[in-house]
Amino acid sequence: MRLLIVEDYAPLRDSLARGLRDAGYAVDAADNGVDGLWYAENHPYDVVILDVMLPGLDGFALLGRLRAAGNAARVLVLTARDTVNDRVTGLDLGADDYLVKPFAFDELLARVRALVRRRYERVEPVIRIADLEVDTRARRAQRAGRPLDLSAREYALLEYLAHRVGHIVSRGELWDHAYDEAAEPGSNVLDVHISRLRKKVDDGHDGKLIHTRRGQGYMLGELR
Amino acid sequence: MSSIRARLTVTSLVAVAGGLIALAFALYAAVRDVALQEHDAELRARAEALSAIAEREDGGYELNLPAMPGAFAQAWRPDGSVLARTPGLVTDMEMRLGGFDLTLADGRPGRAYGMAFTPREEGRQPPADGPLVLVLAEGIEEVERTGAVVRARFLVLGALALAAIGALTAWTLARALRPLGALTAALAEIDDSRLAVRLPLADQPAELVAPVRTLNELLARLEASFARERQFTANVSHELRTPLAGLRTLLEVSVRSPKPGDAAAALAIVVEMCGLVESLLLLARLDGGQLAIERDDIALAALVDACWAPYQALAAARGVAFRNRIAADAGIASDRDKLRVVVGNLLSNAAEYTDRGGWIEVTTGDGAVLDVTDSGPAIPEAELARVFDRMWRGDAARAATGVHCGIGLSLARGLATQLGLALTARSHGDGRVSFRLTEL
Repeated sequence: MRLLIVEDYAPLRDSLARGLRDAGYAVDAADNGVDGLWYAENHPYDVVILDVMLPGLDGFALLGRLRAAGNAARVLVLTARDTVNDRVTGLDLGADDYLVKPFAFDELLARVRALVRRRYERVEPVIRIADLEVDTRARRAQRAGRPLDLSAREYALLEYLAHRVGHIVSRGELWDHAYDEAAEPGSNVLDVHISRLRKKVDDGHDGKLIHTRRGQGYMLGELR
Repeated sequence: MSSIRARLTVTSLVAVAGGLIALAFALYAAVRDVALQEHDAELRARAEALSAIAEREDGGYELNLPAMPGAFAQAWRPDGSVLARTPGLVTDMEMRLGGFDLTLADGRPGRAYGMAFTPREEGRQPPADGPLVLVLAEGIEEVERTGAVVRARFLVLGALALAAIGALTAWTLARALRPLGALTAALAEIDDSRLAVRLPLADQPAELVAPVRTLNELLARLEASFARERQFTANVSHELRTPLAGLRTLLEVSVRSPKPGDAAAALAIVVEMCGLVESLLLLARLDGGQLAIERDDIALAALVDACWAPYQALAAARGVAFRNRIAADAGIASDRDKLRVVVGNLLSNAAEYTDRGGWIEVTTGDGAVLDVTDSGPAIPEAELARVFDRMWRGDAARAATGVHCGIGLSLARGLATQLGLALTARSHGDGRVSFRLTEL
């Protein structure tokens, strides 16, 4: 899952980015509203974590622009302003959630997970495909009751494919949602990660779940 | 506590009662006067009738005065000897002409009328020894009774009038003072959450228009001041929450991670927050008037260098050049710690807001104790007056650094004033901005 952080206070921005990357997300960060808007308009983020008081373009204005353009990213507004009025303004402008500074990082993680589920219209934190279970809360997966030993990147790829179960996901889309700007671009990185993931998920099982559609991309699901 | 209503009622009643009493006396005197004149005329007529019975015989006079109930008379010969007295009159009366007051022989107050006359004698010339004198006196109970009646009626009417006037005054005052009661009720409803209320000016009596207008102005000032205070508190809480959020997230992420945490970054945040809390405390003490001022001889150039040190890295990172042009021997006698805060805030402000690639120059002279000029950006004239306001932010959405919730320059000016210095800001028109400290 790919996230964007727009926050001007450097220590908070850097810590958030580090914490979220440690939690397995692909994270981009911007320190002002103008850059934030550019990032959001040019990358398909799943969740945008947005500060309100920003130089250049404030968070509410950025949110308004995103929603006016029909951007589907879930937006978590992060602010030190906690009056009812501020919350109402933010939610009315199309924010999906609201967190007042200072906050517990665990709570932020939980809210980000919930926003990702809502992004893919899921209620359950555990996605089940045949005998494969992807637990988005614990960020773990198991197949036929046996836990899979996945790296953070492999898990990210699996979770995105799981959210899009039954759909063909293009390589570009997969790249966009599982890798951030900091990742080395190069398509064989994705090939390597996918082949490792496939080995861990499908080896030793009769029903293969990860399928390659030549020239189109990948699909997670049972073939009928 | 004296009430206007009671005072006005009592005062007007005393005035009216005084007027009524004076009027009563005047009326009583006038009525008595008229009654006395009538009484005198009657006495005179009776005296003339009595005088008609006097006779002149053989060079002497003869007069037999009859007894009259309640009245006395006495007659004198031209030589002053007593000619006759009414029976029962044993002491002499005063021999006087015209009407006069006296005490009757039986002790009653009375009125007398004296007349001179010459008894007629057929066929003879009037005698050469002059006229006789007759005085007739009578009690004046009648006159006194008339006066008493007038007085009694007047007293009753006066008391009634007084009661009516008192009631009317009290009623009118109660009505006239009703707007005051309404104002009091309206003011009692106002608390700090309802300061937007204004008292109605229409339908107020003329006397209340000025106080109501003044109260409304006071309310407007209170409202503005409460709004400023609220905004300031909100800003302070925002500026404290942002670094606190940074610190908490930094520590939580570090705790979760097997890699060592960034202690230097955490320390930087704590130092930043300490600075903010320090400034807030200083500001509170300044507001409370609890600042003790000390005096040291301070070398200005060294002080400026020391104040600049914390911002050197920031300025260097932004490509801002710093020039300390103060002569090495320039000095000032002032409070070192407080002057350091003032200069530190000016330099911090300049370091933060001067455009990338610009410069900051500190000088003395030209009437200034200290002058911090930077290359811009310019501050618009309209905002220049507000930079020292406690919550001013040139751009509400400026980078949140934790120390710029509009405290720095406000604190600097407050401290400067305590040190006997004036802190002013000036835009030069070419983009340069100067902050100057001058002797007050």
